[in-house]
Amino acid sequence: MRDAYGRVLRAAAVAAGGLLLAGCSSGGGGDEAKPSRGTPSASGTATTSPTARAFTLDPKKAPRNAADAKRLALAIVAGPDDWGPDFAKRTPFLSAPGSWPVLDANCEWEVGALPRSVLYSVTAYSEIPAAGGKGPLRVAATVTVHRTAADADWEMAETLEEALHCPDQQLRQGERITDLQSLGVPYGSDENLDTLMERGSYLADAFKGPQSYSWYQLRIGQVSVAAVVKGAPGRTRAESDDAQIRASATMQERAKNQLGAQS
Amino acid sequence: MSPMADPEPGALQPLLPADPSTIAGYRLLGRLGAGGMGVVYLGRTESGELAAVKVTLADHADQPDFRARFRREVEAARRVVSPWAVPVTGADPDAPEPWMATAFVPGPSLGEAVRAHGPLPERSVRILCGAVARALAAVHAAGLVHRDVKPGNVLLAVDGPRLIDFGIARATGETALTATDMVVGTPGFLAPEQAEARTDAIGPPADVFALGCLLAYATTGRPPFGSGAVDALMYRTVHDEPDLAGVPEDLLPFLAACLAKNPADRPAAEEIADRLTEGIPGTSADWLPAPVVTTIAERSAAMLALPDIDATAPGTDPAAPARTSRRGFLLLGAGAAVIAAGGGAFALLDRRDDTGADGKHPAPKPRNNWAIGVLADLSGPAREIGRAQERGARLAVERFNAVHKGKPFTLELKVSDDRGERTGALAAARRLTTDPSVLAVLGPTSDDTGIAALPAFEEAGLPLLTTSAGYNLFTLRGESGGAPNTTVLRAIPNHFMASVYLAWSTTLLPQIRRPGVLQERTDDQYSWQCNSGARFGFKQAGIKPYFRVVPGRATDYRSIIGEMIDSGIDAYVHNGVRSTAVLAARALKELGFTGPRFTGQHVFGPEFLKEAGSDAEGWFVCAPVMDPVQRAADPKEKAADRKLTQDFLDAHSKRYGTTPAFYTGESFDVVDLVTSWLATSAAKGPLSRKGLWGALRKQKHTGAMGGYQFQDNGELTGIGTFLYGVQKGAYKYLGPAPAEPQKKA
Repeated sequence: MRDAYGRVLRAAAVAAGGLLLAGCSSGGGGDEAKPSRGTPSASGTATTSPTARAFTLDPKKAPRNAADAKRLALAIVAGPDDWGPDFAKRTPFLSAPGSWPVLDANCEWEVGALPRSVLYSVTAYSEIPAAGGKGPLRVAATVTVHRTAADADWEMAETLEEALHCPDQQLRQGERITDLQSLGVPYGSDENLDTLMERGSYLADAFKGPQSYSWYQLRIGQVSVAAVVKGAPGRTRAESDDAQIRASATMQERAKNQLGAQS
Repeated sequence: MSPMADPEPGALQPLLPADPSTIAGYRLLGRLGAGGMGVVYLGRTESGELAAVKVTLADHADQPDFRARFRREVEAARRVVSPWAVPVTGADPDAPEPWMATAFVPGPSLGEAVRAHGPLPERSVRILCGAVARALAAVHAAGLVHRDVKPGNVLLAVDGPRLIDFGIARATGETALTATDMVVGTPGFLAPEQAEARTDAIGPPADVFALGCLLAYATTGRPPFGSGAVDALMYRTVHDEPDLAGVPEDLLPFLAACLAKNPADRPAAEEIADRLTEGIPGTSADWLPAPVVTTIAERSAAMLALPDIDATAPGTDPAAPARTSRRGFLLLGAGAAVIAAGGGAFALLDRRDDTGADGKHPAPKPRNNWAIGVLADLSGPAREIGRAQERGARLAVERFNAVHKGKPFTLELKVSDDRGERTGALAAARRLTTDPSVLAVLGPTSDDTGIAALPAFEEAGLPLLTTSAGYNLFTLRGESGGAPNTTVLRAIPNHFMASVYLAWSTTLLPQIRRPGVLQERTDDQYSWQCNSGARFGFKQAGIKPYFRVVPGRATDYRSIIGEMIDSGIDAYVHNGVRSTAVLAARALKELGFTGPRFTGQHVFGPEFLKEAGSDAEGWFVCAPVMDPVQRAADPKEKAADRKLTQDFLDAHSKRYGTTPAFYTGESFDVVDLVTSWLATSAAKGPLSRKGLWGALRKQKHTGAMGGYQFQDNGELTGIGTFLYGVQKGAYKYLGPAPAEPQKKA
């Protein structure tokens, strides 16, 4: 707990806000692949000591080509069950292969081409459907497998940079995010883990008033995973946080198991 | 800010035990103000936005027609659309205690600003009142009358003022004057028809009259009908001419029209706005005087630190099956569970009596030997700074003993080396905190070790005074109703403020239009806080920087900087650590960049000069410390102040045979502050750790390196940022960073 205190201080330093990068690239895809339903709590590294062991990458497990990367990404990416009990797949569930959203000079997201440094990237869309007067709580998980950890490092930096260049961004027609605030959290216990958060307001034509936006992104070696939640009327911040924590924790644990030396 | 009462500047008060923790989905973080009608809280919405939540007491809500009126007015207020009016974001007239929420603006009210800094210049007043007039025009267009335009209801933000509390819950036949929440000083803002409670006559012109009073107040610092006894004030408002002495001449005829006794003779709000802002191009970033902007910046920094993670997120249950696997994630930062558990632990500790460091012993018996601790990095990456701090502390303690000769007590210096390592820092801290002779500790040297060590100090109630750790949350926390800082005094600015001053320092060079600002992630907590400060500072200066973020492990600064140069930057700001500043300096030189280069605290020091060599030449570095040699020779300093510095230099030379390193002087001063207080207080009763932080916080200390005063949260008051230029391989002191952006020619 003492060790955790510093992380707590850092986590608590976020001001407000959120972001969805993933939401703008959809179409195609469909339910072509089912993410792994591994049970991280059972297979995870059961550390009994409060001092967690440093995480070490196993170079033999590093994906080297697009096929490896695809297998890995689909094994990690969070599906509905990973967000919480009430979540269901959206249609399409998975992003189209090769799709890669790009923020243009007008701070609008548009479809771009997969960079050479990316082996594979997939986004899985889930939601708690609208019910009982509450709007749909829409979430997305993105896993991006880079060629190298340094490439993934740059993706983390670029995510932070996007919020500085464009505090207000258009996700797509009728959906905007504003007042985006980003903050990096320092490298974890070793250089293979890195975290950042972005928060802002989400303005959708379909909803009255601003909703919350929260983007949480981790890097494990050459893989980045992101969990994003768009708020909706009637959905609480606690619900959003809960889902985001579950999905992020699950994806991190899967990535560590897939890439780590100790699994 | 409170629509009900003017709080003291900076007054975000902790919640009281009787306060709810949430209201209708707003998590309450603190109190903004209270009055007879109810309380105004700072809340956070489920979506994370800050809001001012005004709750009306049930007694008042149960008055006849109250709720219907409240509902009508909320509906009307929602129709008010103006960039200068704070929007209503939520309300429930049917709640047992009806509430209304508005967006929260962290700036001070006009009343606070004038009380703290005096009247505003004419240009500021014109922009201020022009914007308030436009807000009132929107209020009137929505079919409302504000009825309570006063300095406490106008908040100052960087981009312009905001009118708050428009037209809510004003009873028919009830003037604001009869509300029990009125405080002396505000009744002078009522129109005659309000003062006489001629309800039928109260319409938009009443707001115009109040706006006139506001304008006079902002230009002169006085309400135009004076202050004092309410009945006399009402009489003067109805019968006397206003006191407009000191109002600029070209505003006088216009102001007289606003203050006409007959409502029909007053101009409309829209017309006022046009006339006031004639020839002034809208509002601009530099509309406020510097001290007011600084107040806003400080409050914004505090808001940045408000915890926003709900304690009810998953993982709080220790029996939860996913605990182990989730732990790693929680450690990484979104750790709601850790917050909940950690917060609970600290809350318990806070309630503990002062029973000694290990909780077993009764209050310490009087003793005549006490110690000052030093927690510093003496052998790790920041050892140069840590050793300088130890030397300063030692000098102060030795001087104390030499002067006092054991009476009333002798001080010892106890030093603990944290080696600059997070893992050992807590143990290093405990060596001091568990030693009952230690009354206060100088330290830590670094942010990271401080984060790890802080719990030991909080447990022990032991004051920690730092001259180098700028991490925001050492002091800026606790507004959530959890434990506020009662442990740390920071004798330097936090990273956010230091970076605001750095941004303003660049404006000393008027040619800068597009600085390139690089956030380099080796020390991410430092660089993101610096970047936030730079963002704020440059915005205030009306400058749009070009931002770049790069990984900590990036080494190809030639291409990074080359790309920034291609983007047209005319200055470079390095928000990162020394090793990468060295790479940047080399790249800038090799690429033939001619613009000025700036950087801050984590680059400052002799190592940067050594490692960058001639590439460092011409860089500007902002540091939280002064050079005593240059200060002692600075003709701009007063002779008496220079003598204090010279005495310190002499003492250092005698003790160590050298001139002091950076950070020694400030460390000497801070320990001297503590020992001075101890010396004068020992006569009044037994010394103890209890209450010591609060007592030290109130000290106004003049030391070898200047004056020190602290805010309620333990932050340094004042700029505390000093600008150096690298000239011929040395740091040339150029002066304190400017308190405001320099105006462009």
